[in-house]
Amino acid sequence: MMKANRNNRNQTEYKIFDNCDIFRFVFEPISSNMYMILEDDQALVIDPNISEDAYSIMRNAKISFVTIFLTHEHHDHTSGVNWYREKFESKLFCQRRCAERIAVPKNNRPLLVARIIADKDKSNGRIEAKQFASKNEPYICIADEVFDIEMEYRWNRHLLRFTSTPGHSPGSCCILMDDQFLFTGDSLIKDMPVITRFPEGSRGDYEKYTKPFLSDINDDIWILPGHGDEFQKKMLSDFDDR
Amino acid sequence: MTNLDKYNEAFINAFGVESSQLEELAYQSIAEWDSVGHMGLIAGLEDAFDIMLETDDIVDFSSYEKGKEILKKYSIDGV
Repeated sequence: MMKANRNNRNQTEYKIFDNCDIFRFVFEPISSNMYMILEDDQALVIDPNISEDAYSIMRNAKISFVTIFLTHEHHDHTSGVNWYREKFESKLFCQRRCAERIAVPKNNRPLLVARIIADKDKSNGRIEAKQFASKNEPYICIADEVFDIEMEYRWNRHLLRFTSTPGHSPGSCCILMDDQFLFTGDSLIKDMPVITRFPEGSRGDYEKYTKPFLSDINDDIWILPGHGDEFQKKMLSDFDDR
Repeated sequence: MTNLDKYNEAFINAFGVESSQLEELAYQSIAEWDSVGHMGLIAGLEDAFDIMLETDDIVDFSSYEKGKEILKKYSIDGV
């Protein structure tokens, strides 16, 4: 069973699964998801975005250490990495290609987000894209631990299995937690097909490596994607066409 | 290869268009030049000319012709 409590103003959602509480923080305007789990004085954060709401929750929980996982290297999934690392002792994990990409400032520019804001500006007459661009300088992120194909990691009482899932980007991965939850990043999203047209994206890699992995995922596992709401594979009528 | 050749090639590679279509190309004028396609075009241009465009310029890069103006700011002549 799952219950959800959504606070639209702060784009924060708190979900209570059977045995795990998972927060979701949405980075507008591109609606990318950050997930956070708190246990004792530790936080597990996946695809961090800057959220004062999240920071407040972490401070109230007296968090002393943050473990950060990235599902891939795109700006809308990494933009909060350094913000949390400046505030907490931390460790950053990701796939090797992801680590290589985020270590280069050129790759950490908010280009897609700025482009999307500019599209909105055109229809509403605002100039928010330029303001956004001026506030978001390129940055670098340094991973502490990387993997190539697969990795297992125990975080508190949880077992996490990382699997490289290239296609959307070369450094994409999926993270399976306790055989119950799969954080898919942009490798599988509920309401749209995976995008492989980004620079260094590859439809061939997606078909060869990622689709077979996702095909083997149990239908009952909750999928927590990089954008949009959670779902189970059995809810997708068009999975085979993706 | 001239700078104009490199410039044209970036568009052709990014969008799969013919040379004859280039001068009329603008953002969202074809399905391939959407927000995602824009990222591929910019990556191709940055690699071709070994530059890093400012985010403002990437947002302003609204057409084939406008792009030529923007590249002049980066000392890319002859496009």
